[in-house]
Amino acid sequence: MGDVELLNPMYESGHEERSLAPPVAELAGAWISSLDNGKWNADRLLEGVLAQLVDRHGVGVALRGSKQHYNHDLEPALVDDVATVSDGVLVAIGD
Amino acid sequence: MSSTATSLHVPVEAAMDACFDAGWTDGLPVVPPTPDRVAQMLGDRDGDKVLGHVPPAGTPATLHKVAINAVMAGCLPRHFPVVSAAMQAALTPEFNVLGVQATTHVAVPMIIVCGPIVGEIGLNASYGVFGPGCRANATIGRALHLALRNLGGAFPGVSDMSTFGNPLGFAGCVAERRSVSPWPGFHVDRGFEEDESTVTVFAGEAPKSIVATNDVNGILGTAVDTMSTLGAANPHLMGEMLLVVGPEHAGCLGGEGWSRRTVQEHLFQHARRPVRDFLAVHTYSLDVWRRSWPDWVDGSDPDCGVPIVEDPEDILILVAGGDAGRFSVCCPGWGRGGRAVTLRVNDDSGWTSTDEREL
Repeated sequence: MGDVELLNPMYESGHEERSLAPPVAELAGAWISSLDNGKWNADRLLEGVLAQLVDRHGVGVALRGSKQHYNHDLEPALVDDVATVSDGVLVAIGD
Repeated sequence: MSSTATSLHVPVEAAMDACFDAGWTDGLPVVPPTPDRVAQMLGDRDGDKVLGHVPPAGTPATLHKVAINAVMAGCLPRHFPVVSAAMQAALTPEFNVLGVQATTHVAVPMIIVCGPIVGEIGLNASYGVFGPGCRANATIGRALHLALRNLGGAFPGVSDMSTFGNPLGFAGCVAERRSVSPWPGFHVDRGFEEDESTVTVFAGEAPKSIVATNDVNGILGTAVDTMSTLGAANPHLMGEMLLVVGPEHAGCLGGEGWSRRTVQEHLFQHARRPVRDFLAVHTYSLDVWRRSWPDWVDGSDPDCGVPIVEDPEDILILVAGGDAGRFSVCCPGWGRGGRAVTLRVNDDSGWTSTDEREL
């Protein structure tokens, strides 16, 4: 028996590739925003981490955002706002 | 082997294993997607037509890619109009397939087919409607899940974060048993004509048994109890719930003059849990619940009844199943993040749709 060709059911190279944003190079003086998923305790976790970043590393808090509901996507306008004013973003999921 | 190549060339006897090795399957063997088979599936349709982008990966769902997945699932070409319509419905923003694909919950997309196409392509609406045994149901449901998985990159533990998964993730496709239903077609209540064929995608849990004797009080009382369980997402998050009424129950309800609407109203009014039940289990905080519950629910009143949906019409009622058995089932939804979407199926192999919602 010879070979058979099988067509790829997945993505193929050539469609738009995206990469992660680079990490914040220097925390001191950086503007950090927080985004929580709207579940119980996510906001508490983020507030605790933000407080430590401010106290220990001198970051500034740019914006605190939350999903309107945890089943929904983040509002695009909120994503744009965060991208505009932030050097880095903290995210957390609580439950 | 690279999964980013357009195709693989392998020895014939190795084709099945090659599909596994490339990560293309749902864990079951697939029909090897050869160019000839895919061409037969696609027919005269434009394979470059994009139905949407499949999250979380964002890959364009071309008809060609959907056809490849339909071949692998074991579909026949006559099943493809339903598969492509279901894919289009799942990619409609109201459905929120990103949330469904990525959630930790057990909900998965399932397909409900209505209208003449049910008989035309041999879908099972009777005994074992949710189970194995019918090629059309099994392969159409599987094709949707394979396409969503392979194009969206929804792999368990990677971006499909469902804690348990759901057996309907292999193949969830049911059909309406219109011939024994006392009510208008399921799709008629959703704005379509009785003689039109439609596909509905609904994100929900596996069916839960509603065992009840054949009298109205028994049927509705048991349904109320089953549908208002705290373990489902609905009492916490609202959304929608699917109730599949078995033929015996449907005959009883219809014979006693109950319409689909009055059944919905009754279940909306009675399938409720008092606020105190939520406080007793502390699944989430009241703040979280209040964002989901209707405004009229008084969270400070322990006796206030919390419904399972915001509107009676959010209880979707379908008639299906075998003739014998005092059973119905319900499939709780996954919350308010998305809604069931119904689209018309157009079995036109030329695919000359001018309405983007019409396939």
